[in-house]
Amino acid sequence: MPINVNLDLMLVRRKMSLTELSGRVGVTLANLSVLKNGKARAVRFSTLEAICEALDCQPGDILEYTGE
Amino acid sequence: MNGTNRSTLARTLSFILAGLWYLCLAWNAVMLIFLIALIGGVEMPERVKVFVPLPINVTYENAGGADRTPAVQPEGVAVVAGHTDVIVNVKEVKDRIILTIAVLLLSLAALLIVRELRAILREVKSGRPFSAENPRRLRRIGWLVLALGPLEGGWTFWMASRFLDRLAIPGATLSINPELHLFIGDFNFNSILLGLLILLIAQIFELGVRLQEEQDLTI
Repeated sequence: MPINVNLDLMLVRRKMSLTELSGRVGVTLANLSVLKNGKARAVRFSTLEAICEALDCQPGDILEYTGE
Repeated sequence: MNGTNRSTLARTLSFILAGLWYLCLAWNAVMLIFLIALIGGVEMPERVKVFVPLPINVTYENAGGADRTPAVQPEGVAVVAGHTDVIVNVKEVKDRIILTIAVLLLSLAALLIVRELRAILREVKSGRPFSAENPRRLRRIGWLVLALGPLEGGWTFWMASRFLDRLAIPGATLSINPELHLFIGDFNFNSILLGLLILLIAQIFELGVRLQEEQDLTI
């Protein structure tokens, strides 16, 4: 995918599990997996905001443009 | 958010469609058994009468009035009444077979349509109307309606032309009723329009499926 979603790094840094993140953000674990595995077509700003708030990071920390 | 739709309308529709399904099933079974009996040469008791209204115009040569049942009943068929159409008592086995086949075809179509409708309604009720299968179902319904509308209108006309040769009533001339033919033509037109409309809706559902997919994969 041209845009990579890299949650693992931030999850490790904040010592959080994916399950815990899903609880904090209000997105189902299944959907977070979809996001993590690059299967998502789009992300809502509200979701991105919630993730960044929960992980205390910037969008650029979890999103990467690989430009294919 | 997808939620289940248990509104009164949905429930009433389910109920009606379920009833229609069993009705169609029973009717198809009866027609099939009747057809098999006819082809098998089973003797039908006199009580079993098959009446079919056909668009035949009876014009009496004397000013007798069109409502009178003729005194002499012709062989094979019996004219019961006459206005803009004539109710013919179909006695001959060959005629009955053709009639039963026509009715059976239409009944089968109705059965298939009801089956697809029930499936669609089930998915709508579960909150996922834009599943991948629904456009295909709608398309099937559309083609069935489109193709069989003319059959429904046209077969009585064709049967009438068959009977016209054999139905001879002394003192009267018979013709196929053009008014009724026009009415049948109008009915054909309605069915064709309806079929096209349903096919159009199927196309719109295709779009819906794509939108749903997009929505599902938007986190």
